[in-house]
Amino acid sequence: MDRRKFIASSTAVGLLAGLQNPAQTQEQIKAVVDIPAPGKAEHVIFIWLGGGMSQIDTFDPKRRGSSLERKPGSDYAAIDTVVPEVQVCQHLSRLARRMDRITALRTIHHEMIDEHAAAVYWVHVGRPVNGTIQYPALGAAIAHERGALDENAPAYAVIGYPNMSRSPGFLGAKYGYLYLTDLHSGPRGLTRPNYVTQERQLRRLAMLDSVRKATLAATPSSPLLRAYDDALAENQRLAGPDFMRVFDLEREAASLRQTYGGEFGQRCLLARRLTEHGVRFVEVSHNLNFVNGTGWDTHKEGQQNQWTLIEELDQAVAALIDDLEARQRLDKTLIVIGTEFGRPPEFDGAGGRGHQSKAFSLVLAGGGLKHCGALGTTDELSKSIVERPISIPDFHATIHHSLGIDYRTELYDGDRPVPITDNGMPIVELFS
Amino acid sequence: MTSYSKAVQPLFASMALMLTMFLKIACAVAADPSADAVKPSWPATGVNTRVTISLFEACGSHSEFPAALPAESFRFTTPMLALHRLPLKYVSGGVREVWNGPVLMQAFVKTVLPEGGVDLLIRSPGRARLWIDGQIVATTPARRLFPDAHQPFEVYQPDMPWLRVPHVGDHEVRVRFESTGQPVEVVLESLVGSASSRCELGETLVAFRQADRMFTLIQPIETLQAVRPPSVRPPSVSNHDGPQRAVHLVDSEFEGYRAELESYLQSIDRQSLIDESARENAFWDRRHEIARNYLAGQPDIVIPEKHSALSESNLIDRLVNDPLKSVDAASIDHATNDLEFLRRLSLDTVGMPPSPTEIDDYLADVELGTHRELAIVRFVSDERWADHWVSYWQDVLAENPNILKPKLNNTGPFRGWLYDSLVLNKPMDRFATELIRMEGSAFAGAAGGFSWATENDVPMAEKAHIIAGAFQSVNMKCARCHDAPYHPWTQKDLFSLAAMLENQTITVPDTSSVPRAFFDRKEGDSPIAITLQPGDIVPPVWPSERLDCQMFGPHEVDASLLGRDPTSRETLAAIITRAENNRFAATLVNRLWTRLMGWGLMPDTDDWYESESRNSILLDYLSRELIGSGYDLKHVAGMIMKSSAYQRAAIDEKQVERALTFAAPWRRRLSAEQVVDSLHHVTGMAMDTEPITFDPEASQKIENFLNLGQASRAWQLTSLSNERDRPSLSLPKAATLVECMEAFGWRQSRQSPITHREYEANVVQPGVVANGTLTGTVTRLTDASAITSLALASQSVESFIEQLFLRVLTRQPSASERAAFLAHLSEGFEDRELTASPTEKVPPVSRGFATWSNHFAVEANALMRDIELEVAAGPEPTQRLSSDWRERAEDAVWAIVNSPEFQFVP
Repeated sequence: MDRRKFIASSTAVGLLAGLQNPAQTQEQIKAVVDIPAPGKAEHVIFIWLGGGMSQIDTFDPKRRGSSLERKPGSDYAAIDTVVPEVQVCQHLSRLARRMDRITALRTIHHEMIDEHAAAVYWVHVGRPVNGTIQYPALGAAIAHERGALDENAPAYAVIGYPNMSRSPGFLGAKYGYLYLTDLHSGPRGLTRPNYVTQERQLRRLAMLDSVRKATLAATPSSPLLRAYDDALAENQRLAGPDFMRVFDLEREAASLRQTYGGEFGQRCLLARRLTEHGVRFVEVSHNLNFVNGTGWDTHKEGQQNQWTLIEELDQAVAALIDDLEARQRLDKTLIVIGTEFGRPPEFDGAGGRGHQSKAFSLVLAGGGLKHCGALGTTDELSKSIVERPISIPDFHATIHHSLGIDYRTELYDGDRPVPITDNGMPIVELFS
Repeated sequence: MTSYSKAVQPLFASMALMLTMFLKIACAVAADPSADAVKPSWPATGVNTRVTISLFEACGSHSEFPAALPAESFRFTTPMLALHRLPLKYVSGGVREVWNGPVLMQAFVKTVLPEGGVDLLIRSPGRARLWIDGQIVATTPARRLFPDAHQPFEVYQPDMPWLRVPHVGDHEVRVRFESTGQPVEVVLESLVGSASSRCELGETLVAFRQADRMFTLIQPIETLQAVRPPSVRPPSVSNHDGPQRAVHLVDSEFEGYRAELESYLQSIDRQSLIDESARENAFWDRRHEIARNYLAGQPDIVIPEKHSALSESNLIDRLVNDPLKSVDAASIDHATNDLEFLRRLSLDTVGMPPSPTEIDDYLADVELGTHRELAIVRFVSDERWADHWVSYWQDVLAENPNILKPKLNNTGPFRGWLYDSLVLNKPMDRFATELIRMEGSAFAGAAGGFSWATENDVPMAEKAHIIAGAFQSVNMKCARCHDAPYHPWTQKDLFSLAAMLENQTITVPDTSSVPRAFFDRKEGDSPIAITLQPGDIVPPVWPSERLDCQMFGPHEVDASLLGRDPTSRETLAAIITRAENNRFAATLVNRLWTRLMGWGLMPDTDDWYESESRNSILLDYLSRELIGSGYDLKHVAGMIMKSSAYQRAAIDEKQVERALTFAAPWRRRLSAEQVVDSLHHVTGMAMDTEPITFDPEASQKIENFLNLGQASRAWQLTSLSNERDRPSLSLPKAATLVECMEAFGWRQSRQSPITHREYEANVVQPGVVANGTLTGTVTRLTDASAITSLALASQSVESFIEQLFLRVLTRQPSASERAAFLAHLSEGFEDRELTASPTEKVPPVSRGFATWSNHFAVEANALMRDIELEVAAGPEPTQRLSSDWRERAEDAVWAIVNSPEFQFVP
């Protein structure tokens, strides 16, 4: 067969590319025809809890154990929520009152436990590492499919460190993200260093202008050169006050800022502002490991103050839900809480927890979904899945479906079609 | 010395710490009588002028000195009793290996210590003992090997201002020694690394002080000067024998010493590489003889008559122009001007613009008329050619190291082997063979690192696919999981090559197939087929005629072509690299041509299936040149550069008639590496990164952490691997480079091989140059900046502007540019130079290190946050220029490097 002709003529050809999801059952596949209509969400705020959130200490509480006595089980008491029969741990008291707008997916699973980076990659791109393709992150795939809502805004933004798992992979730099590592330094590539005063900036641009003109005069017919020159102009426009104003949290009422809490909460607030200004997908990293010493990677002593992280999460996400709701944006904005894996019920020698990927929780909120507090059942110690397993590809397909993106569509790595998820199916229960 | 003695009083504040150390030593000496220890055998010569260093490998325990010494592995010398790394280890063939730890290092020197009580200071990351005249006078504890990342954050408190803080992980011990003032024999023994960790030295050293003076490194007796004036000036240590200035244990002096020692160690490494590589030269000479004989038996290429009106410099032009005889070529037959050509040549060979000296040398030759040819010879033979080409092969061969627990389809950092090969300009058949052999330690940067594909279910299938693309232009990517839908080869073909590389059968794993569910869900026929089932066993034999059809040739190989035992892997290497396989040479010259001209002699560099060459005679001609020259790629590069085609003004594809686009180079964007290297080069600012590692103390398992060292060229960077998202695991300086390179198409992670990066402009690119920390850093006029020197040396503001343009853009400013820059730089130029004495500097504050073993500590996070802010603020500006004019000059440099012109090869 002539390859080039074939590609030109064929549509919806689904080829290979790491279809490695054997967990898919025939029943699930048959359900294709019964998938409810896609959702109408417009944005995603993807909260990333790097290190591995302990599901048994948060959204999938079990019988009480004790880190001090090394007794397996939840380290905290469980409390009731507004959804009957759904409980969460005591440090999620604010979210407990909002679980009707939240669904904890308690039966997420994959197979990478010993290395964070590989698991982070798996959850972000929806697949394990594959030697022939660098897959795009969820945010990049969504940026590719839906673009930004405003031509003056980027489609994809990250508040956290740049890394390969967040990258656009084969989609290319065009679908990459704008990022800031913390709230003080502003977005990279748009924020002028603070030693460059307005006077200096004008001087710089005046001299630059003379070189730009000279170059374009010398090579008037070069589209390549002109494309770079256009990008330069475009960047100057983005770096202008219109978009940069979004990053100024001082524009929010002090009382509202307070409800969000500390640095992490403020990041969530910024994420809300970004989505309001047209950003499609914002990943917010909760990388503040100095709160308890280890962040969510609660080995050893990290367990002792884990509750402070959980309360911080509780406060920020509750504030975000309320704030979005008050602005009538909750149905348009899907909040996702992601993490690379969960943690086992047992404790290590120093009272911390190891890694567990065969059963853990990821969380969805808002986004116009039909929430039910929790979905899927694990055993009495949240060690293995009892009912309704949800794969990482299903998790991705659900997010795509909620945004009206065809979860069976194909992206192209050059001329090679790659399904947007690895055989994932939306979680039908969440759509009406 | 004045600056030291002023600060003497407060040093006793930390005396308590010191006292504990003294006590510890006193006990250690008592418990470790010299009588029981194996006394190092004093070398016969050399110790009066240099420190002689002997290495003994595999010494068993990293905490106990061996009872008997194995054979000596290596011997070299240093100027002083201080060094920061071992030389590289090369074995036969020039293969890199790691030193087999723990290594016992013995350093011998004869010296004189001043008469009276002397404080001796010993630093070593591992167990060490210091002998003086046959007596052990001090020991340090064993290397700390940490099982986890939960160690406390410690800060070293120097007992005197300016004292250099020890390298992270180094032990420090001090003892009192009563010197007679007579010559003494000093031996430092140190156990370097362990069986499971990297053999790194930190900053192993011995120094002494008298009274309250600054510590001075121990140096050989014949290099001592009669009078040693204590000094804070930078030292000028020479590698030659003879008197040397003392080196005090302060940052400025020690760093100067270390830099000179580093370049000396590099010369040792280079010599080892050359010597060990030479052992296989005879084999390759024979191979090239066989190849030339093969060529001699081939029918000659028919060279056409000259028909075209296009100018012609060599046969390449004849062959380029021949198909164009009917087109009107006048529109493109424009040669570059001399400076444009030099800039293009320099970017294409050494990866950055020419320096002012290189421009002067070139222009001085113009009257000879052979200036271009002379420049081609100079630049093609320049060693920096290797720096420019490593990054190309990193992409094509998918070099994908990971400095932290490599589990992301990672290879080892075989960049070391790439650099060695390119710097020696290894013949390309040897280059490919060595890659396929995959010898040497991945941890040492050897080709052995290519064999890794962590977490990949069939690493050799990955390698077979990379090799087929890189050297054979055969695309086998699809065959990884099913039969290739648009090529005649099957999954089994790829797995057969994989088994040949593996030297044994391979069983197809489930995960290397397409699951049944995929086909069940498909409506209609799928274009892909599965003929190899999970569980099938594939033997290590040449796969099928499907691969013979237009490539590789017959699969029997004559024994004379094998340089190793006849394994299937060695056979595969010979099948690919022998002269009968004309696809190999053609692939390589096409790669070279494409890189230099922007367009390929074949339309798709990596996949020639069912494609026709745009100029098959030229492809054939260049292939034969490659084979005939003994696979010397630089030979072919020089030929291309001498052609009129290469020397024409660049054109944009589609801007002229299609056929004509193949008669000149296409306009090319700089690669990410060229952008970053050029930014440093034109400003004369050295690349300043942290060592690229999270385990600078070498306290972790070797398989979990790499140390790629400090980068001096862009190809030495890699993914910063902060998937954990922790400030304490950031490398703020390296991050400024990575940020810039990523915007320009460099990949942090090379999961798959690519030849052509994305070159579309995007808004991030000008943004990162305009506002990124890297630009702010290199355009700052510091004491180290070449622009500062230029500003101070310029006679007039006009001359400053001219020299600046020449340096950055390799051209003179236009009239309008001149006017625009004069408008901002004239004011204050006359008074720019400050003569006031430099302000008194304050001693650095010791503030600890963030490293893997302590990175969970609150302080480690806080420290890295602080450092991020400092890096963003940029380096200290020079005090020799008025700040107002300096800022104007910085703005001028900023403006030029931000111009689109800077981003393009002329």
